[in-house]
Amino acid sequence: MRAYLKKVYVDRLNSTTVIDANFKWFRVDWIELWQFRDLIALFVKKEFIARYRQTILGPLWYIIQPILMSGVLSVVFGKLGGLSTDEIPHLLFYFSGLVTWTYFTTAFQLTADVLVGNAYIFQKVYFPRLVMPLSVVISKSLIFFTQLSVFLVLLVVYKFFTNSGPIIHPNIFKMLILTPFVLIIASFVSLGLGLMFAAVTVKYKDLSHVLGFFIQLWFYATPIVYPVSKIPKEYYFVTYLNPLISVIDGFRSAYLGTPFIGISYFVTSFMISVLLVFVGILMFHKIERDFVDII
Amino acid sequence: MKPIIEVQNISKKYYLGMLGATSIRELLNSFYKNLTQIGPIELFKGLTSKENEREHIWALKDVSFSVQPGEIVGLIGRNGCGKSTLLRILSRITFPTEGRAVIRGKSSALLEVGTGFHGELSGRENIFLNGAILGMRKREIEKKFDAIVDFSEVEKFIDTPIKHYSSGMYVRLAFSVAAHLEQPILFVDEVLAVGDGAFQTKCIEKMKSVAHSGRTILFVSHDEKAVRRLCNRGIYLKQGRVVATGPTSEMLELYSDDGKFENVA
Repeated sequence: MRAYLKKVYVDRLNSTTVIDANFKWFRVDWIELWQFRDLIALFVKKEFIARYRQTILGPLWYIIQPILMSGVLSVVFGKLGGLSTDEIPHLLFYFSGLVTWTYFTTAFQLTADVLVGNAYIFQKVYFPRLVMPLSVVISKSLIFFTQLSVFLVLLVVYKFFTNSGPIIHPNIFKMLILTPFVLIIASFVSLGLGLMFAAVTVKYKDLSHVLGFFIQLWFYATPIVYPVSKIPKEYYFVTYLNPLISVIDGFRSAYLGTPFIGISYFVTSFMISVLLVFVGILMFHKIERDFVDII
Repeated sequence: MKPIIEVQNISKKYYLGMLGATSIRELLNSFYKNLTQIGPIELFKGLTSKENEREHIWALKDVSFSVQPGEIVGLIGRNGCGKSTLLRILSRITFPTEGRAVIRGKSSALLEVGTGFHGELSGRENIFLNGAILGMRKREIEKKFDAIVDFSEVEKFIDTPIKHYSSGMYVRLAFSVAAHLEQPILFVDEVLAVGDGAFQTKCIEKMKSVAHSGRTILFVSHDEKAVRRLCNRGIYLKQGRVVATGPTSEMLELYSDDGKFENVA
């Protein structure tokens, strides 16, 4: 082991690369990923620029879209469907779920497409393949923070300028502690599952259709359009397994003061997310060697 | 002196035909068909046997050679002899089925001009993106930015999205970024002279100065004149095997002789 590490160090010092036919499961080259950090930053930049130069409203779209969506949800589920929001004002309630859900769903879908969608470039040049999923997660987190700021503005408006002020109890302390964890869990789940899907869809392309459907179901299985308090006891086991429930609920309890789901749920979700990202990276690592030949 | 590139018995197997099921539907269909036609015991035996029965070709077989620092080596051979496959393995885009290669230094692969170019981005933004993809650090690109723009002759349009460029401008910009790489080892696959006549001459000149700068270059091209002008050594490949290696002129002789005999036979 010692001799191997020494060899890796010396090789890296001399920029020596050894290419061979053996595949090592756990030898993910993190240092190389760090060496390509400029490329990751440039891909993030490209992602933003390319996207907003093609839309009518440009960067404003990232702000308008969640507000519009929350509006639609509040009309359909709030007014028409009569689903309770635990007394929290509709717009605020749905927006709070959407901020993290949008992050998760966009990061997940884009990561799942990272190999098939970029097959051309991977056939022409080498860079560590994980560069692309990482740039996806980073660019989507930036959008998350933008939408979070919009949400905070809305929160202030509702708290201090409307009658529903007293019902909302934002907790600064919880905000500072839970937000990073919420982001980490959502990132790990989207990255882990995205990498798994990316690896599997290289060979079985029809699975990408399953993905969209799967996400739609997951939307309803997560308390975005209804509060956690309305989940019947029989379904608690299922919700325990859904790591996003802690994400949505943690976010709500920190910013709106709704009852917190409990530390044990949170820890379980965190562990599930770590497991997912671990398996995802391994599967991706296995497929990235040969996928150019399969795709 | 240790060779800067050492290739040891590299072989690459490619499977032919449809590479198994490409969708879950197909997979389930073929599984069901096999189950009903062959029977479960035979099917199980089939799943656990070696893969050798599947149709395959060896794109490369037992390829070995060494390259000393500073050599410009030309890979010569007919279409399909394995030149590009070898280059892809050495640039780590794909992996060998057997064997190993050791590359003692930073390398960059130019298998195509303009990899990563995105239409919505301006020339400036694409220079940075393409440079980073090819392995340059941001600081390095900033230093060379003016030289790159100057060489490409698209200065006036550098802040216009490249979807508005003419095809000539596009390739000139792409080639210009690649031409300013500083990696000590380069793998180049037929990207040479692009653009109109005047620019082509510039390209050849630039390649010559790159060649004389002490870098090691592994070069694949069908352009006999370019190979003769730039390379001091040649490796002649035929059907995935190394036939001979030696001075460029000798290798080119062998290549054209072989061609003559094949035409006659």
